[in-house]
Amino acid sequence: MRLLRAEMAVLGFALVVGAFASQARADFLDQAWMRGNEAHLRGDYAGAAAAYQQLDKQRVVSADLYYNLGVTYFRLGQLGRAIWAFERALVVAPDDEDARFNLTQARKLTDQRAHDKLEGAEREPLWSRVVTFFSPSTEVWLFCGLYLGCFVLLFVRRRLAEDSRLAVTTAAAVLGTTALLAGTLLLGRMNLDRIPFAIVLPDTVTVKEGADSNFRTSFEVHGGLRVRVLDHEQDWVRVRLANGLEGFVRAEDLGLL
Amino acid sequence: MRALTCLVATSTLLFATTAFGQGTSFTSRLGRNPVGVGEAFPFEVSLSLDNARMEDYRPPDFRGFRIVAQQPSQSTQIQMGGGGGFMRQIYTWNYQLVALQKGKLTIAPASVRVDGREMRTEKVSVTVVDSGQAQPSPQPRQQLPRGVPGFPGANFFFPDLDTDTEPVSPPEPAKPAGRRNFLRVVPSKTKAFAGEQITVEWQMYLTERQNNYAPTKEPRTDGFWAEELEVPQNRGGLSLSEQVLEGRVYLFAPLMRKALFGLNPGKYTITPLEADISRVDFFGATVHSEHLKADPVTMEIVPLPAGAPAGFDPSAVGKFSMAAEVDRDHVQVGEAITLKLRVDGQGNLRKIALPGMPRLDGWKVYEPKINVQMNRGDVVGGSKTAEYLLLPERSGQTTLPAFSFSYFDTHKGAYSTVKTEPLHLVVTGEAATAQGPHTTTPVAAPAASGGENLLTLDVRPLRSRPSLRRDLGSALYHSPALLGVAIAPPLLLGLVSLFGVARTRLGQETEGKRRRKLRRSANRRLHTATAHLREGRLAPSLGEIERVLSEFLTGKVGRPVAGMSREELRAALASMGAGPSLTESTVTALDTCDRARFAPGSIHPEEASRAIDRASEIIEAFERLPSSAGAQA
Repeated sequence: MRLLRAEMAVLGFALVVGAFASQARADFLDQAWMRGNEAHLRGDYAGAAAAYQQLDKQRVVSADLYYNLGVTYFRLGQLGRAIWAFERALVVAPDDEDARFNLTQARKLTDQRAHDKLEGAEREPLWSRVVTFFSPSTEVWLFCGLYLGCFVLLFVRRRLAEDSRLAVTTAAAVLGTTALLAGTLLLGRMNLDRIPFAIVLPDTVTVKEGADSNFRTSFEVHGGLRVRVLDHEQDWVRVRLANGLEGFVRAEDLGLL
Repeated sequence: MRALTCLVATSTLLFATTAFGQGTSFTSRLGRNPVGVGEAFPFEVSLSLDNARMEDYRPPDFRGFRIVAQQPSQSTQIQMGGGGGFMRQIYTWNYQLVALQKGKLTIAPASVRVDGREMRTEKVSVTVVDSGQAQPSPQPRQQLPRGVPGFPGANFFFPDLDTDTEPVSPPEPAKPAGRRNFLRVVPSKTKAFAGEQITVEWQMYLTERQNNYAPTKEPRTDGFWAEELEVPQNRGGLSLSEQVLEGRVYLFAPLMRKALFGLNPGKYTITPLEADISRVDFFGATVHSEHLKADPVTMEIVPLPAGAPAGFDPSAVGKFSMAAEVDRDHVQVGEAITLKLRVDGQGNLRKIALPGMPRLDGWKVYEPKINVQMNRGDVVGGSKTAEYLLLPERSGQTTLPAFSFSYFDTHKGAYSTVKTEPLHLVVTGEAATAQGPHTTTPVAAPAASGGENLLTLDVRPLRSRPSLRRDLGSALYHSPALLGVAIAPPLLLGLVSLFGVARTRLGQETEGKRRRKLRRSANRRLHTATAHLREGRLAPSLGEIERVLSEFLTGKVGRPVAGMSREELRAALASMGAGPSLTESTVTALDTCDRARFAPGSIHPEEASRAIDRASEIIEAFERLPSSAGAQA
């Protein structure tokens, strides 16, 4: 009993310390967020972008953050970066109407400047569309809820009389099976993310045949184009276009999704 | 003398090359020559640019020297004159070097690319002599290093060679008792109408010059619309001046000013500004640091008086005027005109809503382009303009009605309304002949593609929530904690099951455990019996012996022996494998105890003592019996 009390005290202390640390971090992030918003409203778009980038470096995942970053890049005329930011907002929140609208606007504008028409571009495979049907957040909460629910029922089952166990076992089995499906979706998405997508950031990027600027130019792509990242070689990245074309671009010219 | 000549020569050279309008210069200079082995001396590389781009700076090869400190810095010089203005970027790399060996050493050139062209400094020869033989470096004018990050007047390594010198600060006054460094917050008022400007300034008071200032916590202005105001600065750093406060002299610097506009009535607190200040020594090591914190300020925002005109925007508090104009009043069908609606004045212009555009028959009205010009002096003001693109769809005359704008005048303490004059527009031409690209629904297109409206191709506005909304699910997706969530429940369930099994097993009583338990209980009772005997209480002592034998034998036999006749007891003990002498000895001991119970006077102390010894021997003898015998019993 004494041991249990000590464990509870340690757990409580850890929770309190964690809560304080979490609150301090939240305050810091909110300040950077407000600084970015105020700079944007002042018309200081470079300052706003710097504040939002600081949040991005802190690994903050927020559709609002990417949305505002996208609007700021749009105002700065950096359409490739704006498209990247709106795409990221949609990765976090696929049903964000504002981000989708702004992404369309930014793409229209880039298309007027230069349009990459990919001959023979293939559609995303079915499994890829299935695992990305829900947002990562939805998949995570679905999996965690079902999985933890299943185990809670298994714990409860241990305490029940023999005749009440069947119903609880059945419910746990249903939850467990559904959790398995949600987990499969999640694993599928993680597998898909292992070969990530990226957005071309500058207005024009020359794609080389090898990982050096001295290699021959294969073709050109333009800001906002979505590519797959296959491999890294120092500060160069091997990319594949939707129609299968491949080449090397500088890593700094791509924004990972 | 030689060192002085060197210094004068280098200063002259630097002055000559860094004069405004002289183009690009790239120089290096030595703090003193000769230097002693192991003595630190300064070396500086300086690049001065006029509208050029610098890249790929390569420091000199300091072979034979050790770099003990280095500090790059950048400054901009602007000069306005009759012949126009000059802007110059100056990059400086300061090094603090130590010579490792005696002799004549050479510092190789530094190189840099300016607009694609490579530039190099001259090689510099250094005479290194034995330690202590070199002439001392010139004494700086001030003991404290001037200007380092955040403070003006900086030349960290060459306080006397600073070509961009500023007046030397007067000797700092003696520090009166009770002075301390502190931050102060000064609001222009603490009670205001909703939407009325309150100017808040954060100030720093120092007892002596510091080298670094770094804000660690910005004040939060929840409940207010905040606009940053300009504060005086000195070459990008803080502007320090002397100020007397409560009879004491301080170095004073305004840190930050904000114009706050209360959004809703109520009491709101502005959290404190917090900052760190520090002083560093010659090599940049911190010799003093301090954390400063201003006080919080509570403001009371009161509602605006009743009687607001219809269409009044609660943000329109201050003093305003309004004007409306069109770029032309005679147009052809299909040709666009621009209507500019402009509000000037003092107040929260960014937030105020301009009057809406009425519906105009025969005109297509596009979404306005809003432009705000702000002045950030003591009072926030400026202008807000809405540019409407109007496209006539048929000929005729149109009158744009007057626009009206109501606001609360804080000087008069009353509501006012300003109005524009009506505008008359004449449209000529035939709608049928004007059918073409201009009259079709405008689509997103660049201006270069010819007259289509670019205003439609805009993005939706910023999200200015007061706090950042984070997506915990997505954060968890990218975090290793998700693996923990997957592993923890089955692990916990396994541990709980294992614990349950272990507890069940530990709870079962084994033969050995039962024997140990019996032995412990017997020893305890024999000890009690001995204690009774020692105090002369014979009956309780023998009572304990009876209890110990009964309990022990009950445990061994597996059923109570208290109710057995002596014959039954003998049979039971024999069945356990006890020999006749042990059986008789046991029965005799129990008889002695019975006697003591019914005739206490018949027992002598020696007999009681022997009974205790006998009981102990009996227990040991039963313990030695094979366990199978006991089990059979």
